[in-house]
Amino acid sequence: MSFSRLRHLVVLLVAIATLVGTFVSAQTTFKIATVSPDGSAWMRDLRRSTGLIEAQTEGRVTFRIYPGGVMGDDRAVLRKMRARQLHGGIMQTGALETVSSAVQLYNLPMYFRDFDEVTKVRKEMDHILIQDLADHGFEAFGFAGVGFANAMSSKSGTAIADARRLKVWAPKGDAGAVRLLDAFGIVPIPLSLVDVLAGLQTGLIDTVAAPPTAAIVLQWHTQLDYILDLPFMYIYSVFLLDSRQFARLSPEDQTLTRETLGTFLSRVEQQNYADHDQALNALERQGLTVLQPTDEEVAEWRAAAARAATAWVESDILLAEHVQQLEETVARHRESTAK
Amino acid sequence: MKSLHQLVLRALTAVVGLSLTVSCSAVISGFTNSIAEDLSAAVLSSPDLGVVEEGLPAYLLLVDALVEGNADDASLLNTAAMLNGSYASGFVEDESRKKHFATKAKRLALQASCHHRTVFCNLLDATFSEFSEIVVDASARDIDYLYTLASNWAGWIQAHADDYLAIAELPRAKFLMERVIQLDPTYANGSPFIYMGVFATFLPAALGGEPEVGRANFERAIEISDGENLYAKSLMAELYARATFDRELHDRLISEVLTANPASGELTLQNVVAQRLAQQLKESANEFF
Repeated sequence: MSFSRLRHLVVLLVAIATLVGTFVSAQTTFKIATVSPDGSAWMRDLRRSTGLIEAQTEGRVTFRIYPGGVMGDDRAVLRKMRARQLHGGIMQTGALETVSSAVQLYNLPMYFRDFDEVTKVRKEMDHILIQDLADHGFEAFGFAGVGFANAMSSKSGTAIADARRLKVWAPKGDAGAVRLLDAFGIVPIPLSLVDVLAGLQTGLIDTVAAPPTAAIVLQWHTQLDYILDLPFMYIYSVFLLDSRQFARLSPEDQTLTRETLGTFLSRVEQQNYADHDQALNALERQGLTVLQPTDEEVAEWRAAAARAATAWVESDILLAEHVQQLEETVARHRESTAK
Repeated sequence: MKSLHQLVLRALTAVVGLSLTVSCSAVISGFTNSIAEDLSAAVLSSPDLGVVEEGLPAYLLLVDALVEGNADDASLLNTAAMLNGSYASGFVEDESRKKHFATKAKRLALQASCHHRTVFCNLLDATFSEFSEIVVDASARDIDYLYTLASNWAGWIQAHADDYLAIAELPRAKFLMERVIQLDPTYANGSPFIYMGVFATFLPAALGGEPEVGRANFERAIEISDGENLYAKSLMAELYARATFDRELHDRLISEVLTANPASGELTLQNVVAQRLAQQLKESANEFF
């Protein structure tokens, strides 16, 4: 063997050894963040699920979880994902308004009447939202419904005209929410989340739209007397990982991770729905009066909601074709249920 | 400090005395009260978690018997609530048993306040606005009952943290605790400030929590107790330092707790529990930060 051939062989062997070494020691860590507090039931479930992935991949896939908002709010987490300081997050869909023109589709006001309807529609349409996120560099494992936001107030009112006289809160910096309320002819008062309770106590605002669970945990219910029995908006979270980081996993590990985290989200959603019903009951027990709008009032709310959908399409928050597909899917399921 | 054995002997004597005569109920009531209070003080002052953990169930049965014979004795009911609540929060791991004792403690605390002042009988069923008016009207002579009710209400919510019916009552516990602080900021070695610290930090800032308010409350509890309330430091490490990702503060607080002498009158037992928590935080710190 000539010297040059020997040298070539050595180089080749070193290269192979490096590759093998890389492969054998390949470990991908996902740094993920959420604003949810550590110690909550679903955070424990998340740790169990990621622990399961770590065990089943024999340490090739690991997770480092930053709970309780230590990495900032949803928008901050998204920024850090862009900067590759984080590789994933569990967040509300509103934070992704400027990223995806599909992810907020189910947030359209008053498109759903109950969880059963949401479940049927989502079975057909979730893949559209997931694909859109993938097109923008995010691997999503599904969505976890939180519940319906209901209008709650210290003042009684069931019609849109009543709502226009109220001092309605909108999350500060949430342009989508402002545009949406604008379509209802409501001029909201923007406040950050931490200031809402004080705003209700001082009378700066008197009306909020939130899931009953949130109203209780944030103690807003102590300042509220009425809840409108009209599901205003479906609220849900999404679990994202950075696509580039996810692509480092072997196909088998990708499948395992996708399935485990998808199952985790389904469990969270079931618990969320149970909590939602329990929280509604708790609000009544705490003395809030449930207000029933008349059929005419509901029709008026829904007509305004359709205008809100147009406003979101015009603002590029959603695509017209997705909204149309949602309308058709909802209508088809409603029709089959009515038969 | 009287030995636990002496206290049990005295208590058993009292039970026998109760069964012997009804006519002396007023005298006996005062006697049983003293026993229950001594028992409570002995438990709180004990540095031995094991002894208290093993012995407390027997004392709880004893106190149940005392309460049965003196069902309208506000002071006795108040002490019984405290003992049951301490047992639930400090020693019971099993979820359903924890719920049982925490529920019993809250019920006893509500009964105690009701027997102390009739206007307090409505605290559970009143709307929040009515509830607030009643509590604002409370005075310094009500403080023992307000604190027992507030702390056991909070303990009951903690034991039922998976139940929104319970979580919805948190503002009531918080409002009671705020009133205790208004009436006497130094009450119970600053412990009400620890509760206020927990209330402010159990939610992350991004979800409406107020970490800096929490920190101020924990620091106030530390200040009032001249640094002897170690639980304030352990919880500040867990709920503030971790939430703000301040490892330096976290490790300093834990080191202070673990090197301190836990013996400090009725803070002793709580301080031993605080050291146990600090040790857990120390062991999990590298994983967290």
